[in-house]
Amino acid sequence: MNVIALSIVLVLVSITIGIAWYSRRWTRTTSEFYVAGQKISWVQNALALTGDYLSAASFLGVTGAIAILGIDRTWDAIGYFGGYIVLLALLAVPLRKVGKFTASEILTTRFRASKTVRTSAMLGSTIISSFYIVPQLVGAGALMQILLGWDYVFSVLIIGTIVIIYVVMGGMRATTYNAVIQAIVLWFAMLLILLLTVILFFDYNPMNIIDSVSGLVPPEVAAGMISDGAVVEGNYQEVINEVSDKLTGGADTALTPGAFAPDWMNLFALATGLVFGTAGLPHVLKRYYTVDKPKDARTSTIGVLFAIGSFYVMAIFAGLAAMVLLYPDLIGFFQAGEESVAQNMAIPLLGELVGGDVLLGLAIGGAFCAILSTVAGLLMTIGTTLTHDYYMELINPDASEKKEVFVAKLSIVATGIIAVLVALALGDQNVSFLVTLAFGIAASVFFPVLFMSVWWKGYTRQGAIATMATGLIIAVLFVVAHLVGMTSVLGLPVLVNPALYSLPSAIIAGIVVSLFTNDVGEVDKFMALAHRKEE
Amino acid sequence: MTEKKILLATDGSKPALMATKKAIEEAKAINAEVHALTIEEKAPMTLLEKKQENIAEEKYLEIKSRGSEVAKKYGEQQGVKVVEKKFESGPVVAAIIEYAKEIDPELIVVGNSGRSGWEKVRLGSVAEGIVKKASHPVLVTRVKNDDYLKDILEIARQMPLPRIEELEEIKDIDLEELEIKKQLGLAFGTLLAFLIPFFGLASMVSWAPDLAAREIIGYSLNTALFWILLIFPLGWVTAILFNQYAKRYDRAKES
Repeated sequence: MNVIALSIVLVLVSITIGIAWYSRRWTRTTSEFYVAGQKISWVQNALALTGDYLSAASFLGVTGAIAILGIDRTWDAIGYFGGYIVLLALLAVPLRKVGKFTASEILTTRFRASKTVRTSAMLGSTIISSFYIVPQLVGAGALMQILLGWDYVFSVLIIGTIVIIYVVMGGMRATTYNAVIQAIVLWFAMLLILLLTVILFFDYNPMNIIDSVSGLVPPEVAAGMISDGAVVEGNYQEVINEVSDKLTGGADTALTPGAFAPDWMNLFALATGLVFGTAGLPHVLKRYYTVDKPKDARTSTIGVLFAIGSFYVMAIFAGLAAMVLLYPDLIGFFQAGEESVAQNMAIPLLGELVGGDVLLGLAIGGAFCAILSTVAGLLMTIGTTLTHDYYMELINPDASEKKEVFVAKLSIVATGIIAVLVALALGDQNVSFLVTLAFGIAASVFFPVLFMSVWWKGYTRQGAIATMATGLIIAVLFVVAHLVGMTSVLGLPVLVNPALYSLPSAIIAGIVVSLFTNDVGEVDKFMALAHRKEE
Repeated sequence: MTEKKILLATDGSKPALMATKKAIEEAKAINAEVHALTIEEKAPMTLLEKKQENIAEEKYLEIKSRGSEVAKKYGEQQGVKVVEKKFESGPVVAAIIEYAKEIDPELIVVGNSGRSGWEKVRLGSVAEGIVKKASHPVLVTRVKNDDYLKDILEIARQMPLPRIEELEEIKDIDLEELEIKKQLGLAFGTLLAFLIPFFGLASMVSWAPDLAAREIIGYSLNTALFWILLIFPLGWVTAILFNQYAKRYDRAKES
């Protein structure tokens, strides 16, 4: 057990929970929490959006994936980044102007409310959000493994319980503030780790990192090729030399693409899922509820682009540096069967290498807070969807606010438990990879339906249902096929992301059905609302 | 002659109702009008967070009602003129001080919830903030007992806070004026400005792997990685340009 690191983690987590408690009940004076007299809403919103977005997938997953597979996994970084451009260009402002942020609400505003619309939207939202929670728990499990040496199953159970209790006991109100703090902590943790790495190992020049990974066989590939038990010993330079000698001639080095998505279909599937996923993620869209004005929707989004963009640039360099400096360790984790550590722990381990227990603690603590607040935000999205969009609309419209919040909490507990169980089964996966699957589903279910509702006058209610149903069915089918290891479904190869099939299918289904039906809803009023001139 | 004014800050909670009653009494005594100020604080919260908070607040404050409207109604009953003033957003203390500067009242009346010790440290206090910063006399009230508040509580109970309002009114707007096609053009232009290099990278990696792996400026930096790193600044520039153009569409035309 590592006392210093553990203490830092505990302090960070206490701060997080402390904020939840601080802002728990009575917040009339939260204004004194802000700078008195200043309006800083869009900055705050940008930070809250950033904090919600930078989850374990970005902090642990992206760096971890780049560290073991090299340049191919930088797609996660540019895809997560690009998603916000799609959101900014197509949806952020219209959604703000309509004042609706879920597919269910948007469709109800434009078309009449229908049971089918609400049910499919509710299913989509719940599946996507749950899928997003699972990797966070996987990340948390791996963190506990290296921090406390706990067993993975035990870790996930404990963390899952803590998070659920945290949200239900009143973490709700605090998610915004936690997201803000989390954004700041993660960004600076990444900066600090990268700076120290560059100073201590790369002669003050980040470009030297790139130089030293060129020609390197990515650890996951190398581990696969030396599975005959050849021992990897020595410092990182010796091991790199030995492994590279053994495997010379291999085209897959850290800087040559192909280690993860080996052909154009896989590559385009991944790129499509990532870049269109953000605009379909329920918890990201929900966040715009807190944005006050249409122009704030734009400025907040641009703020996010700068925050996450700079973060991912750092993550790319940190991931590559981790590949070099942790080379023997990473191969060793694979050989020892500790996949969850090999896949996701590059950044905490790099922190430990350059900053000892203090940075190890900071990295783990930061990741932990990220997980806590991301899961909290996701569970709240699920709670809101199930109650506000479904329960209140279809089952019990007269429920009091009290009852509504109670039902939300109940659904939060139920979903939380399901997510914990799924996380137990997927412990050996990279966190960012799992999140890309959630992106793929979101890109197929909600992105097309929102996009077409907001911009196409000829879109019909039946078309919308067809879009969501097609996207959901195909995306989930291929995700499950990929996770259980099938190589082809219906004669189509199973790719690293479902979006290459499911997104176009969803759009085509929507267009075709719309052409044969004519219930365009209150299209004029809706368009006027969504595209009116208002600052 | 300028009318005497009393500034009342109220959020419709029980302590605020006490302050309201006191303000009206004082106004009656010195023949002043009451300016009832309500500030709706817009913290960035999601819907569920807001509802959760409403419930929690009501539990803590016993009642949550429409602050300034209750004051107005109570004023009518007591024969005191009440001017309603609502601020949509803003730090509470700062807003009250600002408004006081504007109307120059005889007195500022504000309720104190009576928290002390740790609770006060934890939650802060609007009353204390005003006492410290205001340049007008301040009267801070404490809740006496429910009997004293009976009449105003009754009014407040009839005027609870509305449920969180969600649907915005759809006004009749001329669709032609909105230039939806042009707006869509801008959206697509922005999108393509980013997606072409984005999928261009994927294409190069897929179909021109040699080009992707070619070293370009030293440090073993190859075309693919250079392109990847370039995507970020490209995205930033695209976003800023989009904002510049989009602003135009949001500015209402002056007729």
